[in-house]
Amino acid sequence: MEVDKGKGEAEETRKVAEADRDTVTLKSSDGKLFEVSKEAAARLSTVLAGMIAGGSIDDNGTDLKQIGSEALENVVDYCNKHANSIPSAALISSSISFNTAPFKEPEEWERKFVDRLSHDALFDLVEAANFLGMERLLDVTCHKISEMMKGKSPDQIREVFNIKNDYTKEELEEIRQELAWAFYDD
Amino acid sequence: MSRAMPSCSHSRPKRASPPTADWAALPPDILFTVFLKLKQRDIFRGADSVCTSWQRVAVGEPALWHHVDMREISLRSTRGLAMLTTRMNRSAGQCSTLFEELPSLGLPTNRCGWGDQEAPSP
Repeated sequence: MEVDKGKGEAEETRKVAEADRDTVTLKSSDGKLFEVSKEAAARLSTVLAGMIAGGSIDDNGTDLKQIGSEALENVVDYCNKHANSIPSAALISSSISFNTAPFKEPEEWERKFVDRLSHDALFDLVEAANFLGMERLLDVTCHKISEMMKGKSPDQIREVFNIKNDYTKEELEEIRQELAWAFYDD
Repeated sequence: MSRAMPSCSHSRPKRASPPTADWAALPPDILFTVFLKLKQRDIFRGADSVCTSWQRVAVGEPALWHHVDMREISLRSTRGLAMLTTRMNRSAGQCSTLFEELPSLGLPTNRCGWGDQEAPSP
């Protein structure tokens, strides 16, 4: 309620209020504003943590020009849900792959969170998570994407992700020869 | 035809509209993270030959091949040796860890560093 105050005074009042706020306002590439818990944002995103610590958060909405409103809404939703969730006992994956550092399996709510996304929304979210340095969200979204590939042939994967086969015949033949062994069952 | 795209502010799945995301253009660092979560066998059999940009990540990231899970490989067959060779080639000489016992090779432990030591002579 900053209706009839002088402009300078209103500005001053708002600045004081913003400093005390426990949320930050983020602005998507298409100009939509979203509020997110400052604590969750700082904990889950290295980029936002840096901006908060460095004082470069804009009270009128910090511009995130690389992130559309749908993806930003999902980011904010994830942060808020994360802030409210009670971490379960660490479910360290026994072996998703030997390449990975110990990876805490997605919690049930995280699974549901990514499962309900369209492929497009998942794509935008994984890019947003990467951009914002959200390690956990990146892990969860990449895990989902990897599950969409597991046990599938190149053709099936192309179909799932709507990817064009851009190999020449010769290149495909070369791959087939190099990896011939991979296509036989044990 | 020239109708403006409706703005989309909901996070509901938009199954009705055709997908627009260009998965072939997924940034390599993200794709790398995805591949790290797959079994090497899944990369070879699938992701590897989906498209040229994905293959560049699969082949061009030695870190994906640093570790070999010997449970996926039988050294008693030429196929198993071919699998191992491809993985070691892709690791750009940095294949440093082999998991699982290798009784057939008479190796004493379930880990042998091939990175820092001299590789066994072929």
